[in-house]
Amino acid sequence: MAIGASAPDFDLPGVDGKNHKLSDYASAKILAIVLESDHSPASQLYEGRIGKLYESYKDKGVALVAISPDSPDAVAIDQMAYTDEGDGLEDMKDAAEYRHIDWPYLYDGDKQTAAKVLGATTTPEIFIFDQARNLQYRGRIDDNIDESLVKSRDAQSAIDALLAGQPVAVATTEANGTPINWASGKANAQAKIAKIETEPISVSLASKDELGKIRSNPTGKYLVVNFWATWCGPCVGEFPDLQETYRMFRNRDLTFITISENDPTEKAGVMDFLRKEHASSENYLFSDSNVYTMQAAFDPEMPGAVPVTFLFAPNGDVLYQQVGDLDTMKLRRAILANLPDTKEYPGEQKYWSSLAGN
Amino acid sequence: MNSFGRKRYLRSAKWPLALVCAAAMVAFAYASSAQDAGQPASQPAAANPSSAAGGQATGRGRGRGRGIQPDLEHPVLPIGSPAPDFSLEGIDGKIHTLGEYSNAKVLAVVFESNHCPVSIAYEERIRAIYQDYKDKGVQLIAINPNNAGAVRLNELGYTDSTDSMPEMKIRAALRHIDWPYLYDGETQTTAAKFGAVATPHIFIFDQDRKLRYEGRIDDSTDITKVKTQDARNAIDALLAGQPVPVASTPAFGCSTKWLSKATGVKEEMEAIMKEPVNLSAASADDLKKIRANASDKTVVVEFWSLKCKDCLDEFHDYENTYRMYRRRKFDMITVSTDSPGEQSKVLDFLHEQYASGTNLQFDSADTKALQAAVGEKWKSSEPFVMVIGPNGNVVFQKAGKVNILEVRRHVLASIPNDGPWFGVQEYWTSVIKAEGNRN
Repeated sequence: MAIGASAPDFDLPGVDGKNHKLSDYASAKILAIVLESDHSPASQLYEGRIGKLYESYKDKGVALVAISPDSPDAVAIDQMAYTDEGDGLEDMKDAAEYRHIDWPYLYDGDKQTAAKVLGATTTPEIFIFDQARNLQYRGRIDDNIDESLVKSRDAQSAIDALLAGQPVAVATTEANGTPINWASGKANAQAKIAKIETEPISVSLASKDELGKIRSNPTGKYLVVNFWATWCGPCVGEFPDLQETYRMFRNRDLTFITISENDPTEKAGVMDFLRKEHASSENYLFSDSNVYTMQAAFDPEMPGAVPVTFLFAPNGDVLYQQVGDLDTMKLRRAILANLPDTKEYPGEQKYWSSLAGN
Repeated sequence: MNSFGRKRYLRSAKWPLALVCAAAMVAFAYASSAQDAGQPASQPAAANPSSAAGGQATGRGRGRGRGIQPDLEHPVLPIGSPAPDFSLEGIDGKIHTLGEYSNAKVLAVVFESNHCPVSIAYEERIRAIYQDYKDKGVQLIAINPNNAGAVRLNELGYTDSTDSMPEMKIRAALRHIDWPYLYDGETQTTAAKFGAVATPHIFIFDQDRKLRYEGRIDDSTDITKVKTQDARNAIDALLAGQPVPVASTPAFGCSTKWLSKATGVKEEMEAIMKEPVNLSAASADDLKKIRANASDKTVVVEFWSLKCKDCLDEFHDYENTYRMYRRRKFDMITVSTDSPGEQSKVLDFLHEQYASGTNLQFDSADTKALQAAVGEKWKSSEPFVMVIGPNGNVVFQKAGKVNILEVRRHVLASIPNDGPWFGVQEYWTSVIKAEGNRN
């Protein structure tokens, strides 16, 4: 969208359960439309800054509306490595609550019309319209994803200029966020799952020594360990969510191990189940019939009930544990709050750990 | 210093002070050991203080750092604690209290449940403790801690029914559970006071009603491999006025189904309601194959029709049966005998029932052919049910309205045990045998 063009006439559902239209914001002197999405790590890192813009200008006649442009089914599993939630409207409602997104957050993942009309390419990306709702600024929010290194607050400068009746000095900048997932990417996202589902599946018998070794976490990485059994309803019920979690984070600094507490003679049944679940994680089965001995070999403090799920630090510290039914979101948030940052997205670990601390 | 962890723990007002202090120390322990291990400078933080590991630095056998923690929401009663008071209804319809058993030299409280396969595996051992010690001044009582509303259908793979009081009464009659069996599923306050981790989990109190043992009943789920009778050893020691050799062991079984976690039941049903519903036409030859059952599964075949009110009434019970056992070597097939022209109405009904299993509709009006396919017992009227084991072995068949629990028991007695220690198949076989003798 070229500078000077008219704002898109959107009518989209928000996380507040209401539909929001362009005309709803007619009284605002300035309208800022930010494209952001749940899974997008760049959106997450800019979230605090978007919140600050919203808060500091809302009483000055500036309306800020966020639109999630991503097609939920087009976000591939390996693009979910920095998020607890997907990009559907229900996911967005949960995310808005957990991440304290207090500004209007609208879903446009079905038709993606707003993003197309705006000509947006990444999240976050901001479009600022004047009182006549003509575009006066488009592009990045500021010049560095790492807030401590920001020199030029481009969006804020544009808003300040418009409020002062001045021309916007720099009207167009390039947004370098997370690329938008267009609906055309659905086939690719499906193909990635299909490929994972062709990966070899195996289960090894774990001796007492091996269990003790797993507990000490020799992987050098963060480690999720899930104890389960085929006869355990909650275990088999939560297993697909666990495998999805594994698939989301496996390209980061995380190893994922399942340990079946079935009897070693039940290996065939355990394998049947793992195959059905396409569980290409690292899978083990107790090598001895005595569950008490085997549990104690893993850890003398091991709780007796299954399922049990742990997140261990590289030094073996327990960072998260759940005895009984897993709350998948809590596990994902614990993983996100602990995994060290990648080069691409510095500040992710801090973002998630501060959310956890609030 | 892990500032996130520290700040969070100090803010958490509901935690006792001792835990808050311990938590701050834990955070420190982590930071220093992370440096030792050459970890990046970023500080790990647990995601949620209420369910995360943080709290006490135990880590027995591990030196330092954050170890595995007990359930902080429902902590296990510490050894030496006085017996928690309770007032609970039993299967005898009476209210039972702690004070009622004040004459007993030793009181053993065992948490057990209907649905849990581990609890089922231990039922005979609980009976034996009750029998062997009841004349020696030892009172054993059982408490079901589970709220039936928090037990999902997919947790019912080894049982005919779930954990409600009416179902406890049925089970007690079937299995001659003649020790007091109390229901705490309503409020779960007693289970919370004990910190019942799982079923089974046993707590043994001395004459002063101080806790002297808690944990497992013995050291092997497989009764043939038991070496240490932990619960009996504790009782024997108390009767002899000796200290209990091992006071605390891990309890193993099905986690207590806390009502606070009951959302899983709703989620399960929502997922079931999204499953596809299909209906296919079936010929007499198709039914002959089903009757011969070349698979390794036990199959329930349910004949029904839209005209049969009993069929419509009990259809839901069959669907739940399918949902309970479908992860095991089990299948269920519904066969509508409505005329082929009624197909859309049949499908409508199946949709209403979220019948996501195999649904067939007989493709002709030739009831003789159908009778020839499935057998003489079928008198061309519905409802009619067959439970067919591998190799076409009909283990149960019945025309007319059925007791769904009876169908389920025959299924449970027909599916082989998953593992060597369960004995679920034998358990249900013995129930059927006892019922057969009674009839």
